[in-house]
Amino acid sequence: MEGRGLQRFAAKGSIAQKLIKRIVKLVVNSPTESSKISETFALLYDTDPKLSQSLIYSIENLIYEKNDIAAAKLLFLHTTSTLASKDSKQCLDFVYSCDPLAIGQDSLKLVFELHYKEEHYLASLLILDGVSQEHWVNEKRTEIADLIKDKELSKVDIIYQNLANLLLLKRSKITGQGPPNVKKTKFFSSLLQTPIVAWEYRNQLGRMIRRDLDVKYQKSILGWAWGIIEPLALTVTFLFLFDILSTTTSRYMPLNIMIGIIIWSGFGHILLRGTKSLESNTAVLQRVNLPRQIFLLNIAGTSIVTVSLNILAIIPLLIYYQITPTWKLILFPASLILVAAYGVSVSLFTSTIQTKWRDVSHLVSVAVRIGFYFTPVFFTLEMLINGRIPPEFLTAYLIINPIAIYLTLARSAFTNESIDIGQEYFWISLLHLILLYTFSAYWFSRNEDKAVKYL
Amino acid sequence: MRAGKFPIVLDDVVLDFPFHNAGKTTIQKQFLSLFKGNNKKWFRALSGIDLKIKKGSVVGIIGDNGAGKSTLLRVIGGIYKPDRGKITVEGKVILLASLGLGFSNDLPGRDNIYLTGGLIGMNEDEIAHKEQDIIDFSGLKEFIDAPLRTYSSGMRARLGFSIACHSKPEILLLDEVFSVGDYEFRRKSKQKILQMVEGETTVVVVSHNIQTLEEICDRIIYIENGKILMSTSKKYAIELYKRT
Repeated sequence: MEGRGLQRFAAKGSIAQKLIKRIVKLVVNSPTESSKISETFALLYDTDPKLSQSLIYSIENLIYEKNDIAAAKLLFLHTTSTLASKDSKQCLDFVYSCDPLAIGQDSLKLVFELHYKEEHYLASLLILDGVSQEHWVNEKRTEIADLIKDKELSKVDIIYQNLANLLLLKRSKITGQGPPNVKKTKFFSSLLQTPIVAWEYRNQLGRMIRRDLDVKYQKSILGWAWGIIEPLALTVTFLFLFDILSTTTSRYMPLNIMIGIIIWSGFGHILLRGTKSLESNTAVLQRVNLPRQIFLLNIAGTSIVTVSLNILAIIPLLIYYQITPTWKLILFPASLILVAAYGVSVSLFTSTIQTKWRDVSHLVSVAVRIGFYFTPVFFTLEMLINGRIPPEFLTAYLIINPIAIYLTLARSAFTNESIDIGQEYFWISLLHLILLYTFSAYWFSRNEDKAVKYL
Repeated sequence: MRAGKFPIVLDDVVLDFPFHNAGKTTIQKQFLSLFKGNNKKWFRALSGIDLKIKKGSVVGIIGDNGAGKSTLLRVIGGIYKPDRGKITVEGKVILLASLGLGFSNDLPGRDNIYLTGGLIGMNEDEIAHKEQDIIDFSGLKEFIDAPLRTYSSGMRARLGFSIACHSKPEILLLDEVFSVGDYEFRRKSKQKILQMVEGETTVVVVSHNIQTLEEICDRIIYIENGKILMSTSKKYAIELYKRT
């Protein structure tokens, strides 16, 4: 019962919408019952006198989606005849805002009468040209010509004359033409968009990344050191906690935590700033015609460079553990790029929604924080496997969280430790990334034009 | 058609915007809108604009606030894609709005020349080659090495205009650029625009400064409610705009 009450309450605001729907239905299904239609129109005007905008959309919907021009013409005729008797200025506004395809002969006569009544003689003369020849047309024409002689022309008349001129031009031009062009997004080209942008704008991206790095530590005394201080402090904290809480630690614990935190902070940076990449660049997006991915790529690039520089902080630890780098070192940049690609994929999706609902960035920041604890950042995947997790959950976990695998990969680049989880999980994580990117890239190219309007 | 002669052709361009309704985002209203079904609210920013702009001409756009002038410029500049209708713009387009281009506040003006120049499609060598010209024209002198946040709005506009002009655009779109500049800057930029037009650059200007428009424009378009009210005669359009 409560639900129905709520529904009724909500429906109050949309009576006008419902009436419009009913009218459209009537116009399409039973166009001959004109008395019924005009009755509903009178009702509609009583509930919402400013109805023209919604009706314009309804008419366009009829023309372009349902291809029912006859119904559109009828709807237009009824709207103008309702408005003409109530508010002639609004009626004329409606006429000149509406799609000219919907204007039939009867409506044109109505428009003429309206102009004539309002003493827009020049405009009404022009409209007469559009009306098909009938016996009264020539009479009216001579009548108006006499009227104009003694009168000074009003500015409003001149404006309407111009509008009528454009209207008639458009009417003669579009009749018989097909539906308007609608931008179609091609699936495969949408996937290639982002890499192509990255390549074409590589010089500019380089410049933007350099700017970000320059600005980041401007006016700070320690400058670059801050990039290292944070992971260092966190590593010490977690080591301390582990020392108190647990007895099992792996051999390279400080090294593993350090790598985990540095990469995760880079990933979080991409997600947090990437989600806001469209929103925070409003000024540029509204002035320069650029591929909109460029800001996201800029953020990702900055993160990659920052992580690569910060990772140098582990060199003392490598010396301490007497680790000599092997060919496996190449796994680090590879996994870093995979992590960045994952961040970009998520952000392609979130950044477009962020422009409409600003909640998304809050949601993402919560997710990044929770993800920090659920991903082996300050512990290792090995500890997780050896923990008290049932194996089927572990499988699901590894499928859902590819970052866990990429992090482990990055660690093994330095520590040379290998974990026995089977190679197939790496391929699954790669598939996860590809599917996510496919969805996000397609979503982005479908919605970017709309998203920019919300800025 | 005669594409070479008309670099900008708009054919029945329609653009809708979502309503920025502040109350809309409360949870209660969002929830209720689920029941209301059709909760899309749009307003029409441009309704059926037909426009052809000749190569090498200066076109001014006048109209009240919110009439759709800036939106029209942005559609020509490719920032908004029209919801309906067709638009063809041929050549390199640069849109210059009052507060400069892609400026970074913390960097000095000189770095911003490179940054902005890159954003609008100049390469490194090109910018390096023209750097001195840009600085000279902007009249910023030693301030060019000061961070951009210390600039006045007029100084920003001068730098922006200077970069835009030196990037050799084929179509230059100016949105209220002259309103912040001083007399000297306005005189200089007017001269520059006329000089560019001789080199076959097409210029579209939005301004409330009718005097400036009258001096530099070949043609003036009067827009209201997203519709072109008058686009034929320059004098008439201005007269009409003043009277209504």
